[in-house]
Order: sequence, then C-alpha cells, then structure tokens
Amino acid sequence: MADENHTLKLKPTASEPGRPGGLELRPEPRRPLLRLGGSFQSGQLATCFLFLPPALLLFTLFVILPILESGWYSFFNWNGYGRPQRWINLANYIQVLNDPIFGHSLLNNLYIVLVSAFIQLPVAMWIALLISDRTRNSLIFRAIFFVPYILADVVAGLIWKYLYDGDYGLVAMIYGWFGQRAPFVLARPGWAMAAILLVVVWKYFGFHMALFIAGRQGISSDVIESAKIDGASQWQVTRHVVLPMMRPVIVLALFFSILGSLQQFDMIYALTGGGPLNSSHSAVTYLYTFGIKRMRVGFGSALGVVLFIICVLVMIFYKRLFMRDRPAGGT
Amino acid sequence: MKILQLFSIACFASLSWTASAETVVKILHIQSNQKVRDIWQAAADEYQKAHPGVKVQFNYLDNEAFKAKLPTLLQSNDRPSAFHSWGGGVMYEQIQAGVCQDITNAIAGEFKDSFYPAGIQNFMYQDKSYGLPNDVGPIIFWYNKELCEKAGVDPTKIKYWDDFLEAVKKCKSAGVTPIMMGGADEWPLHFYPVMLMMRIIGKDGMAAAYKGENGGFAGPEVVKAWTLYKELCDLDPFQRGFQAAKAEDAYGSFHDGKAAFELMGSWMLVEGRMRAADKKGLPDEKLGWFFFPEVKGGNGKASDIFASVDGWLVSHDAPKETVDFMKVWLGKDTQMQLAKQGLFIPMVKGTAEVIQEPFIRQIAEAARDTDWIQIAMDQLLGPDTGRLFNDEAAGVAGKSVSPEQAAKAIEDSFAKNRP
Repeated sequence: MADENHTLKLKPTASEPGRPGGLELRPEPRRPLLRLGGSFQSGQLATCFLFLPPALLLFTLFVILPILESGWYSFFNWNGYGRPQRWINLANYIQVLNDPIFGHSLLNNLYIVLVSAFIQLPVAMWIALLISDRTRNSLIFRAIFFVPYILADVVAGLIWKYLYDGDYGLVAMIYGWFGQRAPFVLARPGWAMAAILLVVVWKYFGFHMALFIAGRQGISSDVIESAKIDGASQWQVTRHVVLPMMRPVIVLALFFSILGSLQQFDMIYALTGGGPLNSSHSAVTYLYTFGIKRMRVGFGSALGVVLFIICVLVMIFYKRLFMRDRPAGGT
Repeated sequence: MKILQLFSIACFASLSWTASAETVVKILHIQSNQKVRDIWQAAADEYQKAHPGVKVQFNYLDNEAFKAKLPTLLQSNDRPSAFHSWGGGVMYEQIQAGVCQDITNAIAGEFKDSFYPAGIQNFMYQDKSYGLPNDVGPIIFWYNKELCEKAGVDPTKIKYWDDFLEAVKKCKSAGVTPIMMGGADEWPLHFYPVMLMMRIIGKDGMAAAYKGENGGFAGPEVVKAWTLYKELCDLDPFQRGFQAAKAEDAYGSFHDGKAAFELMGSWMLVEGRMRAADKKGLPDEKLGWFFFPEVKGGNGKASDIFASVDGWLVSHDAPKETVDFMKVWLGKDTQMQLAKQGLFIPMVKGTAEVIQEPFIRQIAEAARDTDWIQIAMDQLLGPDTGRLFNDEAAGVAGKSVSPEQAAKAIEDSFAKNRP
C-alpha cells in the first residue's frame, strides 16, 4: 500500500505543467527519483541495490511486518499472553463495526475535521493575511499566536482541564462575575466534545497560520502590484489573486487537519480520557481504552486494521479530490 | 610466567565475582510513596548483607504504564522476578499463560501461616499459590462529622441501605453535598453496585454468580442491586461535575470538607489529607467511618469486607532467592514497620495491633476479623469485563443505562471471558 502511495504522490508531479514561480512548495530533490520508472543504467541499478536494502529492511521490519501481524492477531480472541490460539473469524471486526461507541468516536474525528475546515482554517487564513508582512508588530503577533502550538498536547489538555473546572477554573471565574455558577463542561456528554473542539482550534490555528503566512509570502509582489495597477480592490486581490495562488497551501493545511484528527490522542486523553460516558473518544483513544487497557489485543488489532483502512481510503480520496491536477507537494 | 599466573588469577577472580553477583532479584512495583520504598530498601539491604551473591532491585512503573507494559515485559527476557498483582482475573490469565511460578512448596509452613488466610487465598489458583499478599485496603464509608451534624444525620445510626438513602435526602435538603465521587475514573462508582450485590446475595451468591449460576451477573438479585444503586443515583447525590473529577481530586475535596460522605478505601485517610488544600485535611475529631450498610432481607453482613488486596506474583523462572527475599521483605519485622507508620494494612498476623493511627487500626482489626474479603470487580472479572463493569456503573450514574441493561451487558461479556 505504501508503494502505491508513492506512486500516487509522484505521478501527478511528473505530468505537472509549470506553475507560478513563487508557489513551488514541492521539494526539488524528488525529481531524480522519477527516473526510476524509466530505463536503468547499470550505475543507477548498483546505486539502487546499495542504498535500497537498509531502508527497505527497516521499513519492512517496523512498518510492514507489524501491520501484517496486527492483521493476523485481529482474527483471535487474545489477551497478549502466550501465542494467540482462539481463532474467532471475523468476530472482532463485527464487534468493532457494531459498537456505537466506535461510531461515535469516528463522528468525533469528523467533527474535528469539520471544525478545522470551517472555523480553524478560515480564522488562521484571516489572521495570516493580516500579519504576513514583515513589520515588528506582525512578528510579535505571529509569535503570540504560535505559542499554543509549541505546547505539548498533553500539557494543553491539562491546562484547559483546569480552565474548564466549574469550581476553580477560568470558566468559573467568568460565570462568577455575573453571579452565576459555572457548569462543568467536561462532565456533560454533549459539551465535553465541544470543549475539546475549542481547545483543538486554539492549539492548532497558530500552526496553520504559520503555513499560510509562508504561502502568502511566497506570492510574488509583482503579481499583486499588477492586479492593483489593473484597478483591483484589496478584497478583489485577496479573493481572485492571493487565495487561488495559495490553494496548494490550503490543501496542505486541510490535509494536516485530517491527519491530526486521525491521530488525536494526547489532548483528549488529558482533558476527558474519552469520558464522560465514552462520549468524547477519538478513534485512537477508543483503541487505547477498549483495546490496550482492556488487554484485548485481538480486538485492538482489528480496530487498528479498520483505522488503517480508513486512513488509506481518506488519503486516496483526498488526493483524488484535491491533489490531482495541482499537487500540493510537500505532503 | 608470573605475569601469566597473575593474569589467570585475575581472570578467574573477575569471572567468579561476576558469577556471584549474577543473581538479581528484580521487583516491579507501582509504589510511589517514598516512605514505603525506604522501608523496602532497608529490607533489601539487610538481605543483601546476609546474602552477598544476591542483588535486589526495585523497579517502579506508574499504575497505568504498569498495566499496559506488563504482558510484554513478562514475556521478554527482561522480566521481573516478582511483580505487583491485584489477584483475580488478570492473575488467572497470567497463570494460564504460564508466566507465573507455583510457589506453594516454597512458602509452605510457618511463613505461609504468618499471613491472613484470606490474603493467601487471593493469590491462589486451583489450590496452588502463585504469590503473596502485600496489603489490604477495605472500602468503607468515610463521613464528615460537621456536615452530617449540619444536615441532621447521625451516621452511627445508618445500618441499612434505606437509612443511607434517608441520610442522602437530608443532606440534599440541608444544602450539603451528600457524596464526593471521582466519577471520571469510574472505578469509585463501581463500589456501589458491587457492595449492594454483596449485601443482597452474600458470599455464596457471589460465588454462584461468578460461576454463571442463577443467571450469573444478570440474575434477578443482581439486577436488584443495580436497581438500588439507581435509586441512589436518582437522588443526584454526588457533587457537581462528578463525572469529570478524578478519584484523587475527590479525596482532596472530601478532606476540604466539601461533602458529607465518600465510599472509599482506607488509603483515602493518608491520600486525602495529602491532597487537601491545606495539606492537613479533616482532623480525627471531624472524621468517622462505618461499614457499607446492609440491605434488609439480604444474605450479606455489614462486616463482609470489600477491598483491594494487593500482592506479589513470582514469575515463572525467577531465581529461588526471590521467595527467600520475600521472607524478609514480606516478613513480620518489615511489615510491622510499615504498619506502625500507618502506611499499609499488611496481611501479616499481629500487625493490626501495632498500627498507631486509630482509624487505620480499627479498619485493620475489622479486616483481620472478617471471614470474607471480596476483591474489586475490575480485578476479579479480568481487565475486559472488569472495565465494562465500571463503564456500566458510570452509565447508570449518568442515567444513560438501566439496571437491567447494565447487568445484562456485564453477564454477556463475562460469559465470553469466564475462566
């Protein structure tokens, strides 16, 4: 599957026509690889035999084999002790797919992507466009907005857990100003996930902002100036020149959001542990809680396989939808 | 020639030195209290002095990390000689997988007899001993005398479950939070349905349910226990936001005087005071405890103890010095020191009497005198059904699961995992 991914990554790049100069995000060193598909010269073949085995061996040992092993374990009822012996066909998979908590966890992952796409990225873009110049103030603001991203996820989770506390936290203090008792947002099934989403936006918008600033700075000022000379207003420049030229960066940012959502673990675990009543799990915290903590290695493996398939499908569709004609490179 | 001789002597000496230092007894524990560790280390030093060829090594892992890493660790070459255990289902799985050592003969006689039989029993499987108990932490109702007085509740009069519900209602109407609860961890919630089950179906009933008789854990009497638990939950007895509170947060809050009752282990006395805002918590005169009340018409007694029993299992190829060291480490002298300081309630006979902390001594004496100690369900039923039990207890408290659904889900799960 990984090889296919490479092919998918590389194919469009090969047929790619020239693009506006400033937006070249794709790293140059990839080009020589493309020749591998063509005829080998003997020197290249030797190089290949010399340099490929170590990487291939490590990749096989630490990526391919564990994936295959998980696939094997997923057909057993196994607690991790001894060798797996109780073969149970597809029972683990049926259980995973029938578990409403797993469905809910995937939905939570989707919420993270949606909130990222419709709130986090627009906000990040807006701020990025405001502070993409190189003035001193902009640099200060950039640093401020970037700070949350520097924090470890688990630290951010613990900080916000305290802020959300209905007795002692910041939320309690704000409610206190109005003479109200604050709710315990992390203790309510519906609210806990919303609270997590807020932290996700807070934590990562700085990262997307940095990406967008880099993208914005890559646009040649000539293009913008010529648009202005042609009489375009600021809004028109943004809407018809800047944003279209930043499309690869936006596609990349959204890609990172999806990736981040699928990997989301530390922050949720620190904030709610997936609770209350298992309402705020992400797919990965679900896997940890129901696979590893309960010592159901077979079930956990089945979950891992399902997640792997979901990830591969998401990536294939994403590439087909957004990266076909105008690859973002760099991913 | 002389040089060669010297060289061979040196080689031989270094070899023999290596050989003599080769026996390492590795103990994997989850104990974070430095006072306990110091006493253990002193026992290890004493043993090492008497046995120059043996080295005792204590290795610490945090509770959750310990649980997650143990299966892999036990099957690696770096496995510990002895490791922490709570007995029950997890232990059965380990024994069945062949990672534990039968130490029945090694401990037989005076050493084995120095422990409470209930403690020894907790680390037995099919009449063989695989480990030894370390300590017991009975779960009891702690109460705050001032708040009970404010609510007009006399805790000494609470004998039956109905009395307790009445007390909760009185607290509510007096504006006192009745019960402190670390609901985010879920296991503190599971104490309630388990203890109600113990009080309703008693020792024999629990053994029958475990075997799957009379409907197992979904039998009508078990459902009744869940129903009584739901009656309590319907009164909204816990503090606001209890579902987001960790067990440790709850210990501290109870000792900050935020609720009238908390159903928790004997360990809460030390931990709660440590975690209180003033680091002192409730003084002895403001604190009291009683056994979980009986249920009218039930088979269980108030003195039947529900507890966390901690101990040590010996891994399958541990050196014989492991059990030898345990005779010092878990022997009466070391355990007396731990008891005296109130750090543990050891399961060694004669230690309850030396405990100086009055509350802990009372509880230790009750544990000594009881004829039944039931261990926590999340241990007894194994990690899978055990955690599900906790989930269901949280579900009923969160009003998203009915008593019947909870009991059925547990039985369905245990039907697959029953040993």
